[in-house]
Amino acid sequence: MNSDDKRELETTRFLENLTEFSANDNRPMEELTEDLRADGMNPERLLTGFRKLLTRYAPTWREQATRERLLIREAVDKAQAITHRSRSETETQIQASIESMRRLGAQVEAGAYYRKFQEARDEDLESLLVDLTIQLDFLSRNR
Amino acid sequence: MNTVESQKRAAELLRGPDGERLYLLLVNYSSKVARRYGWRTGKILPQGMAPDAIATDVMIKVLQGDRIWDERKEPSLLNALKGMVRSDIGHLYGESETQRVESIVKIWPDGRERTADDFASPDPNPEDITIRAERAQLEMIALDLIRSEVEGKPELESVFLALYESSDLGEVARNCGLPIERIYSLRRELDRIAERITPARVARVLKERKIS
Repeated sequence: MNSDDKRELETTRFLENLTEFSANDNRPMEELTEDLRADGMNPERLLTGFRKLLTRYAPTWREQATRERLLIREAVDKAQAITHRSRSETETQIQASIESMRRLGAQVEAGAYYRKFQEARDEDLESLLVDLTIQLDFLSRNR
Repeated sequence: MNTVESQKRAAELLRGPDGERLYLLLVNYSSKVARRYGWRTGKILPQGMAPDAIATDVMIKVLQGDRIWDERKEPSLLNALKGMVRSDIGHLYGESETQRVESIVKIWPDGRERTADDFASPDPNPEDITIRAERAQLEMIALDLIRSEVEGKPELESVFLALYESSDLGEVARNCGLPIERIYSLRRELDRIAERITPARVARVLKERKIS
């Protein structure tokens, strides 16, 4: 190894050591936030982002339940928003939902639904469609 | 440890009492590593990436199981995440560099068939040698600039010299014969100095030295 190579190695080692030394892990929170500000970052904004990240990617059971509830609510609202349709349209959508659920591996007794179509009232069919939409949504998300 | 266990354990620690400090330490580390690569290449982080985005991305990958933290191999989550940040920043700088492209034409113009022996050997070519030399120059300039800033400040000078040997604060304190509390504040002072030595400044000085 010549003197240039040696100097090059020493320089690299120094800069590596300086990097680790600067990023000392034992700093208290106050010192750390001050360092981040000196680096041009906003620690409060960073922490707000971090908390959101945890809610999304590492939710507690409560956060998970809240999210599920919101999704179900959205599915119900969506289903209710399209209630103004003809009886035959509702039947077609029920059949489509049943098919989709079957494709996702659900054991759906479609025959039972079909037999009841004739005697069911319009409101019952709408209610059935809402129910199937929620189940399908749940199946899709848990697949 | 499997992926799910690793995800759960990481989530547990990040949600724990030290989670926020851990995240900020990681962001801070990402910024220091980016600075380090910047000195080596004379460039800021490629692809418009920010140090905090890299730290966040690594954390998400661990929480989603795209990257695995094996607690048996590396008991410290922070150290594991730091390794991932270092690797990602390394890749970012690596990808931004000029890549040599080999033609894959199998027949030479004289009709002879190209064989494995015709491909470049792993020895560095003139371009590689030039890039390596330029990097070494940039690093030396960064070091020189830091040295000139600490000159005439005995305590900082002693820390500067101690950093040739170690990055550990306790060891630096022992080598300098200074109390560890003093090393904490000198660390901060030296870090502020280093922060002013931007990659652009280092690249500019190299250019000026080449001209003169």
